Amino acid sequence: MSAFDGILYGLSVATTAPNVLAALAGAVVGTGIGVLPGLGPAAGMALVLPLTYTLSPATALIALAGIYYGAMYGGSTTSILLNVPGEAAAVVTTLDGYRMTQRGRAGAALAVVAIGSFVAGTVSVAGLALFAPLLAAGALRLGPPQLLALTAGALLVLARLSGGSLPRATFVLALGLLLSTIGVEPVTGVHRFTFEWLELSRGIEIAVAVMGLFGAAELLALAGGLGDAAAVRPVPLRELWPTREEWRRALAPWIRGTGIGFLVGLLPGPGSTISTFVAYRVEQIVGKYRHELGQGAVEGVAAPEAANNAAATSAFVPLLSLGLPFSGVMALLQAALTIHGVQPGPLLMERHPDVFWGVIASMYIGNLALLVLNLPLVGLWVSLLRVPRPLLVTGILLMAVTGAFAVRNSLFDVWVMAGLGFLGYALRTLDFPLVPLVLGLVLGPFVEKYFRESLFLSRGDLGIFVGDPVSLAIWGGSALVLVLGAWGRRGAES
Amino acid sequence: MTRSARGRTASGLAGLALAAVYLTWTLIDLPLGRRAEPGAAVFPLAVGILLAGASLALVIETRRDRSAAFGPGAPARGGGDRRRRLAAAGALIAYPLLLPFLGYLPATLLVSAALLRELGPARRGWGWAALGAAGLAIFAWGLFVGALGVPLPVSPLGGRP
Repeated sequence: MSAFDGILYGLSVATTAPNVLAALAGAVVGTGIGVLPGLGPAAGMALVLPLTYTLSPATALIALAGIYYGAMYGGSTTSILLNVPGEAAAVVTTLDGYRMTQRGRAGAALAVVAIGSFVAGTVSVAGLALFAPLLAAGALRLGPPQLLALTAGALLVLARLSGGSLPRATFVLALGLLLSTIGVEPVTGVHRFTFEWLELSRGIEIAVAVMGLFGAAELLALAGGLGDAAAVRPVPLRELWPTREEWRRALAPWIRGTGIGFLVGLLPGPGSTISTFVAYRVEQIVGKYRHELGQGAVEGVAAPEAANNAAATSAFVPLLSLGLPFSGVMALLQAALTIHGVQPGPLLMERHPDVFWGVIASMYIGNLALLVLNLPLVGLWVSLLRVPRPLLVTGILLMAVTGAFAVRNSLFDVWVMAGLGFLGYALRTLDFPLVPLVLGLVLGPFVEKYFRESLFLSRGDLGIFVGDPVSLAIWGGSALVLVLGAWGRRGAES
Repeated sequence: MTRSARGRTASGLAGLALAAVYLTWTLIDLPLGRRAEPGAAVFPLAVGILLAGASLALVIETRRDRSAAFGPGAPARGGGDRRRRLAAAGALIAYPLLLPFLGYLPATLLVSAALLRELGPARRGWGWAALGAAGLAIFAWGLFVGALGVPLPVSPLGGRP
């Protein structure tokens, strides 16, 4: 199926009533999650995940994808109006967005964000439709040694780029890998670390772990820092239209931001956040009005927000085509698919074309919904900030506990969620990154599978791991990223 | 030494202890297999060694980083109201404890009302907390049971769901 045929097929899937509804609901709920400070996309999606269990795999992923890019959009609203970024990728937007609000141009800033996000999202979906099948076709030619190099290499690189020092990142990565070894070992059926306990023999459910590490940990963090609700000036609808000058100045940063965001999103690591900083830096170098950046320049809002949304879309490429989640949010999406019995990877397009192309095509609908619904509803989104925090915290508790129970109708899972919630909170407090833990839990079984399959194939010859140019290139590339990362960090520190 | 540095050192030491137990258990309980047919112990062995190495590196890093360990700054994150955090932590433990005995709705009402009372402003009494708890419990029940058909614990007194 060509990319064009695929998109057409995807549109036929995405435009069914349940899937349109899922895309709209996802975009709306995601915007709400993005608006609420503290509740980032990962925590929000983890809490909403149980609501998708009864949906079909395609509908569930469409809804969750909608939440993801909705949250990316929503995070910028509070950045602009309140100088409070809803999530990490919206931090850069505060620099010029809030200055525009102080100058009475809040409406224009919100419109530039919404239109830029729409443009970036739509262009990136086309890129996703082109790149993902190519990558999947290439990945089908890879055997266990190359897949081991790809998975283990990605894991090491991701752990390194997720923040924190190498020992801290490796420590939490090892904890995630350790958790992944609990349960019945799939090749020989041996029970590992189960205490002959039935519930443990099924292993640690990824969705439950994510709910604990992000959802319950967020609950504890939010409870400790309850503040007063923010006061927000209303934004009249007539203020939303940018001036001709603002339109003209936003165009080039939108295009540059889209390109940068798409490329950065393909790489391992927190692509959305990194892309905003890169896009802003590029504007500081090449922008015609660079001297105005930081003082309320349209470019300072247009470029990072376009980059942010483009990166959020292109991050789907490695997940859908290789089965490799390059971020915590993507790991969560992979968990959602696994719950529905769908394995993301090179065969996804062949075995579940409705999921693959349906999700891609639904992004057009979701992006359009974000543009049409969110601008007129900006007042409603901002009013979310007036929800009393005690109600929000208690709501998160109910969602986390009920959601964890709903995964397998097991109270044991609730205890696992609570335990990991405490662990996640403690690790956060001590400045450990949490994403490597989730990635270790998700990718650990794949690393083990490819490792053992390789040794079966080579009859125990360890040379198989580096015996071909593809494996060598992947290991070399991973090592290079690790070395460059350490070098860059040392340079930044000195 | 700051709280963060102490916490990270303690994490490293706990990681070392965990790795020791995990590796011992792996070697005693799981088959290693042969090189051509690796057993169930091989991957956990690698994970245990990685955990031990990372834990050791963490302890060394924290001890070496004098500025973090003895400097005046770098306070532990997650400050805020300790009592509120304890209330949330207590609710996270009490809720699953109460669920099998009280059933979903009564347990949800009780835990939500107590947490709202503790987290909410002092001027708002039990009435506000009870009202908020009722709203949240009915919403959660409607969502999970009514819309999604999740079989939640319903037994009024006793019995694991």
